[in-house]
Amino acid sequence: MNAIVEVSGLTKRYGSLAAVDEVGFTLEPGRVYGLLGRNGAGKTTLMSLLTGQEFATEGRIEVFGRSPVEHADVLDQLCFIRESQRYPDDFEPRHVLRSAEWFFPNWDAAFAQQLVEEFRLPVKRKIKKLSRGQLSAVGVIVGLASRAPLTFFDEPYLGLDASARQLFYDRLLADIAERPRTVVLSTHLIDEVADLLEHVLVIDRGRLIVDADAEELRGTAASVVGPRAAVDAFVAGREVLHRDGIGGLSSATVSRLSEAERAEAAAAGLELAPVSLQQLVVRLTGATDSEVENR
Amino acid sequence: MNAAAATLAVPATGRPNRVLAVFRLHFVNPVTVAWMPLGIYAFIFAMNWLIWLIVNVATTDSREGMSEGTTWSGASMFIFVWLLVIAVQAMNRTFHFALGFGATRRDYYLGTIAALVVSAAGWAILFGILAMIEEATDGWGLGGHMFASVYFGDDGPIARIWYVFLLMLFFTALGLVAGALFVRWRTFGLVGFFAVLALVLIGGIAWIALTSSWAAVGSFFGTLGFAGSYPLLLVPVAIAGLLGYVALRRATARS
Repeated sequence: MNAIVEVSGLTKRYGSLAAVDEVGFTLEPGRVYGLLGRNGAGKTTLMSLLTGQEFATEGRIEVFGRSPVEHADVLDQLCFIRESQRYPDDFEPRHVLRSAEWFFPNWDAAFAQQLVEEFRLPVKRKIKKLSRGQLSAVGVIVGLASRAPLTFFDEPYLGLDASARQLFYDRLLADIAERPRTVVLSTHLIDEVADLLEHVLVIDRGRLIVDADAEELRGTAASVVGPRAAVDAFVAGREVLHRDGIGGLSSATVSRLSEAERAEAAAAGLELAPVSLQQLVVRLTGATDSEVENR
Repeated sequence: MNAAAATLAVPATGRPNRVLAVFRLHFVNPVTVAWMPLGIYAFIFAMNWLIWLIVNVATTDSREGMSEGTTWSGASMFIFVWLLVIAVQAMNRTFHFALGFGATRRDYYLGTIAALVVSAAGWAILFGILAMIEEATDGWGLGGHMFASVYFGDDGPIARIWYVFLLMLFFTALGLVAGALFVRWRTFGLVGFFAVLALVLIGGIAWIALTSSWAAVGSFFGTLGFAGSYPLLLVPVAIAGLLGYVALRRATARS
């Protein structure tokens, strides 16, 4: 299958800072991608580059076969409402939804209206007076109802309450099942979206450090928990992504274990726990647990 | 996956006209573009009318003197400044938004210029109609003037609308280029622009003064008259339009 996005050697520098650094990947049609990474890792910059809102310093971007910059036929197929999207000061959500109809060729006004009711979005309130969650809802509604072949959701969960998050999850799944398209979810709230993702891209300090199938990625690591001495003995000679301990107990995150190794661990009295996508990303992007908890 | 691929491409036939989309975007909220300036204008007019009334009641001078004097009124100038502000804001308010909705910079600029030209034309026509009413009612019944002022001469109502339109375009273009520079280079762009503008103006004045050419300048415009002078505004308008595009062409949603 032909990729709809091909990126190679992509770099974006702001002064001496490389916000995106030598990144290369492809996106295939009809899949849900997670673009994960910490705050300031370069997620939004990368999406801005893919949607022609930013100019690359170096490298090649092809979206639907050509550069997205100033090409209306490419931009027609995209939707990217950034988390910090700026709206005209005097706009209310109804103005946003009304004008969306003029810009997105696949816009479904009835679907948008349904989502407005479900998300309980006040359409006649000034955008700048909306709460963070309501603002996220505006972006989510535009993203869903635009039905763009390549849709970016930038931190869609920010400020949404649990019901609204579930609603987004349900509507997105149902709608892409009916009208398949490529979706890129960018977020640092990884556990929230983990089940949605088919493929994961992790970016850290501008560099792409993971480009893997989500299922595969989940199997790449395991946590070993047990008495300190037993854990130490078991992980000796293995690559340890993370280590933690309280008193005589210890846990270590190690790379993929084979069936034999699992049996070996069990025989040594150790417990094996799966590592969530979030934990894995946290390990890979170098935060400590206390940092995660404080976030 | 195969079914997915089949539905992915958007048929070219359904493609929206983005210049038109941007044009409409500028008018989607009529409060800012129409109701607010109309309200302010109505208020200014009401204030002026009351003052004319007071003058009429309080003085015994001839109506002709009053009628003559009020033709120098600057009360109508509000709308020109408003258009400048609207143009600056149009850029700053909608550029990031339109880019987020997938407009190209080129389509955005063309749609914005179209919107600004149309609104200048709309205001100029309204201005001209009000001026005609003003003349027909002997200055709103009080010998007052707000629209049929001396600044737009007495070449007839159509010519007045044309002059007003050109002056509005001039203010709009000034706002447009200032807005584009702000969107691209933020405060530095604006400060730089007005610094250069001030230098050019002072330089021009110095040149005229040092070569003792004030009389020549006066006779130049005198010969051209209103009909010849007002269209000269199209020169700075065109320069501003080009400069604005140069600034916007490489502007990003981030800057």
